[in-house]
Amino acid sequence: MVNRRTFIKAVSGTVGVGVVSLSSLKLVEPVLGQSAEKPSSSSTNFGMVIDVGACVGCRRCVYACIKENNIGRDSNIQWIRVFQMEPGTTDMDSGDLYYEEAPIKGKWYLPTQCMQCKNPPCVDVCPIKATWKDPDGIVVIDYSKCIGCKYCMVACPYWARNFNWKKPEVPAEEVNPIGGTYGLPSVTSPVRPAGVVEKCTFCALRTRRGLHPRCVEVCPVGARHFGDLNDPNSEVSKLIKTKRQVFRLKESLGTEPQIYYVY
Amino acid sequence: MAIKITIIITIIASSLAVIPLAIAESQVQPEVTCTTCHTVPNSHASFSNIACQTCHGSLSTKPNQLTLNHQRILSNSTEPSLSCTTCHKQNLGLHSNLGAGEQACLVCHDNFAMQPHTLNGILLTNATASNLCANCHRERYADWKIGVHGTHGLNYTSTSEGAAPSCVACHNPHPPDLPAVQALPPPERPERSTVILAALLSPVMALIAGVAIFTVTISRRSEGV
Repeated sequence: MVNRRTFIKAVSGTVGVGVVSLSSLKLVEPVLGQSAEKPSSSSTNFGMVIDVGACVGCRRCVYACIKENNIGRDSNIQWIRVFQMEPGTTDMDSGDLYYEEAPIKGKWYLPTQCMQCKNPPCVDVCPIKATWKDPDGIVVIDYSKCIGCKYCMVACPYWARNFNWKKPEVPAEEVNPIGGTYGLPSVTSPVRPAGVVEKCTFCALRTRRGLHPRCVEVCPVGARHFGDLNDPNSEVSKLIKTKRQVFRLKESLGTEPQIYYVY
Repeated sequence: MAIKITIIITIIASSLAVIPLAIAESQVQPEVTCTTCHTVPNSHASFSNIACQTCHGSLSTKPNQLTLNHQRILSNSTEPSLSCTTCHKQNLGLHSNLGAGEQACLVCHDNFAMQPHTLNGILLTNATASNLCANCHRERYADWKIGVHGTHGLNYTSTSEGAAPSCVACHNPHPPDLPAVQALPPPERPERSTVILAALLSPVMALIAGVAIFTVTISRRSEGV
């Protein structure tokens, strides 16, 4: 028979160990310091346009993203997922993520990543407000706050969020010092800790300095375009206006994704 | 009178015709052709079934006066096998769908004058060849025009309009096919054994839980709790 005193002792001990282990996960060394870029002004609304007519499904963007953002090499996490699609559908659930050969005639390729939604469901469900939408449209995560409850992963209709089951393993010489930090003062390590959820941030540290995201830079067929959707003269605004076929993924959910697909 | 004159003329004419024939017979030689004196260079090996005169003109043409003239070659040619590709070994790739045989060439190249890049009779230079491409590739051309195709400055804030290189700077029209870009490996699939195990275990666990709850409920009822 367990009396009340021993029960309380046992419970408090377990909780204590849990708190200690949780806090040890969040011990990250300051590398970049507080000088990280601040979000651009609220007049900016970052968006991307992907020309699926041009995409050949080569996954250059996937691997460039892994390098740029210090994603664990062995964690099997890809922030960008490229689906091989059958003609006649834009339903990413029916796509093949594991295709080996590309491009195959008669198929088309749908690169997906965090859509930086205008109405992000992942932000709504976060119980501790560890993720939010910045004024320039980028949905960011404070990895020092994230408790790894994975609610956001369930809420995201685009499967854009990934959980770090272990600390991302990046070879020391391949660590990108400005990758994966995103200008959050409380997150200062280029490599994220274990136990947090991570996702694409439009390479915020690059784009807030006026550079293209890495995936746009490496695309060998020029299928990706990035810019300010609020600026009528930007590349992306022009493409959305001039292309006849423009769609977004799962528009009916009302998430207002900021990645437009054209063909 | 008239008949006599006709007979005389006929005799004279026939005698005139016989004279050169006799001369020719006295000089008869076995098959004098170009190759009797000239050796065919290796570069011409593929033209072996085409008469030399097709390109080199008449016998009076001196060798170093030879100027190739597409109009003469193609219009005087009696060789059915002579086409653009006889001399111009081009792999047209997908562009071969433009027409059968040399019709594909003539879509972009003006006939006879054979000037490259002729659009409705107007000669285009390499720098303005994009207008020709636009004949078919309208959408890409429109994108290129406004600066969203073909340019990726490092900086998205800079306007790229007007700075874009022309189509042929990046795309070779012979053939237009881009070099194959091999796909990089996909992410790992979840282990099949794990998936099967999870699929098998979840109903088993549910069953165990169900049985446990059922047993507890029954035992409580029987105890009258």
